[in-house]
Amino acid sequence: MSTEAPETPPAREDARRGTLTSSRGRLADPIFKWVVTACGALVLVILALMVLRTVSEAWPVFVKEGFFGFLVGDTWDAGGSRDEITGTYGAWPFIYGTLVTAVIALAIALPLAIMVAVYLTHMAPRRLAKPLSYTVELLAAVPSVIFGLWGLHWFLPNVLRPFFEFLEATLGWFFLFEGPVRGVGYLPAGIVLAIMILPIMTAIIREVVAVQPLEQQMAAYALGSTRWEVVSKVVLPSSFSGIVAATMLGLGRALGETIAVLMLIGGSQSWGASLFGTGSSMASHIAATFGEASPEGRTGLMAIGVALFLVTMIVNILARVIVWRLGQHTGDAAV
Amino acid sequence: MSVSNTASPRDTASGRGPAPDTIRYNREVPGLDNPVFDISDLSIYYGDNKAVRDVEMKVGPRQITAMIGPSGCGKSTVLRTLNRMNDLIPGARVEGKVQYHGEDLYAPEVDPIEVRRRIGMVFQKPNPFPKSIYDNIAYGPRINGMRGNMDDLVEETLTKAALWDEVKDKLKDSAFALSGGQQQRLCIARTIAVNPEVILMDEPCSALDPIATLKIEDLMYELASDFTIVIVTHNMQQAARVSDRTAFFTAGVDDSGDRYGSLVEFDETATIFSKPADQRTEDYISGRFG
Repeated sequence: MSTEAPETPPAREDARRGTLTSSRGRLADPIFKWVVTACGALVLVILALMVLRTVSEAWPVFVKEGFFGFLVGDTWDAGGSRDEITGTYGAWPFIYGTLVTAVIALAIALPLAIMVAVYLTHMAPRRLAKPLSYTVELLAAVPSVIFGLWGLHWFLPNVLRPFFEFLEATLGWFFLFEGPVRGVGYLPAGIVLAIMILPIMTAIIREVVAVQPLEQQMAAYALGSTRWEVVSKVVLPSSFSGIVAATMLGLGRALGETIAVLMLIGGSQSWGASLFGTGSSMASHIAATFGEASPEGRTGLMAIGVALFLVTMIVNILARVIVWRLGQHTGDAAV
Repeated sequence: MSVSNTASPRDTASGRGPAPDTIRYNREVPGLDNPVFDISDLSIYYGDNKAVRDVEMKVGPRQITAMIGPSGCGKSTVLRTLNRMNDLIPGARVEGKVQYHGEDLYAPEVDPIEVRRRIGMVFQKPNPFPKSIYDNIAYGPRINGMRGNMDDLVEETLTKAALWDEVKDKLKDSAFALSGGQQQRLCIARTIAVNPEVILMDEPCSALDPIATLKIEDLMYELASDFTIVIVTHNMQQAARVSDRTAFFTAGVDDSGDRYGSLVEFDETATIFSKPADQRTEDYISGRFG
């Protein structure tokens, strides 16, 4: 072994010399910091501008109906005036339509998404799991108008309608399934919404379920657990916050979805308890009537916008609270 | 046992080597007439690779059997065949015979779920569930449909695992709040809560400090009066301190260049550490190899 000091390449030798003062870091870091701060602030500014503008445009309607009266009033009769509020504005039929379609969508999509995710991570043969996961993610990117068209022209007449008629014939005595079956309505809109939000929810839940630590699952198996017990008692409880996040994303999409709902919900301005009834959601009503609305009617639609924003916000806050309250019991580390 | 020595239970291993005074607990080695496990001609495949070859050994009831050997010698793989945990690894396959009280563990009618309930396992890294201490213990009895007083069972189990005094005031706290050693004892408690006959331990102390390790060893010794224990360990002193019998495995390379593990020698621990029959065993335990 040689005792000589190893030779250092010239370039590296240079790096050891020279002054320790430099302006490089002193300039670049503050600029970087300000750019990203500005981008962050932009989000808040845009949000504030949107809220301010919508609320101020909708203000006359709230003044006339009262804010609460606007939310619970169930008559919508837009006036044609240019500069005053002459009509009656009650948004309840649209709020109801939005909530009921979103609830139907979630009630169908959430259990399905969990089961598909569990299948993809725990049951599917490896060769199948990868392509299936990609397909699910691909489905999430299909534009909603395509779901609407497919729902209206194929799914509704061929699958849903016969199913609804069967439901009406057997469970028609129950107020939710009271006839007549019209074809379009809350239930078909909700079911197609469920199909729309299923891929994104599945994709998120699959990610979360897939990263649950294997050691804990092995421990459960070693105690004589069946696969069902490992999944239901170990994997899913610790995926809780991820499942709620997926639910929120799906719910957000269901609440705000416009085109597909517009095509399937029927477009009436009334509401009723039967799921076969027709109605409108907030977003679909705005889209359907905005084009021909008078200046006064437009004010009313702005007010619906404010209500939609509010509903979305309340739902999100509720979700946060659920995660926070229940997460402590499920032992989800992410809480 | 052939070695007559009176080392106190607190005597720890002195340095390295096969000195008889590394034997921490002194007791008669029970016989192998009614073995719990009788393993013969056992080979284990991962895919096409014959990873472990020709293992032949027995595990006696209510004794501690240690498996030692260098990395890649297949000792953990053999351990996992004893409660069919290998079934969970895609491509793993077993050839030969593993008999549990004379019954073929790999017979088609045997249900691995039932096997694992009777033959529990403690893992290398403490792996409590993200639940409370209480729920960790209660998990196994609950899934097995136990009726009766769960509070009593939890207390009794934690007492057996020498953990009750440390956790009795915080049973509802998360198991993650415990220290590493406590977590591992909790995992042992969780295993014995379903009252298995056998406890398999896969390097249970490798993530623990020496004090916590000693506590686990004490616990193992206590538990051996009630349970059959098979432990895989990297630590030869540990094998010498706690076990009644020791199996020494080694890693080799066959003619086609594939690495495989195999059993070299299986005997009473005192014999393995004082006068091993095989030169490779002697080299390993005296630190000349591995």
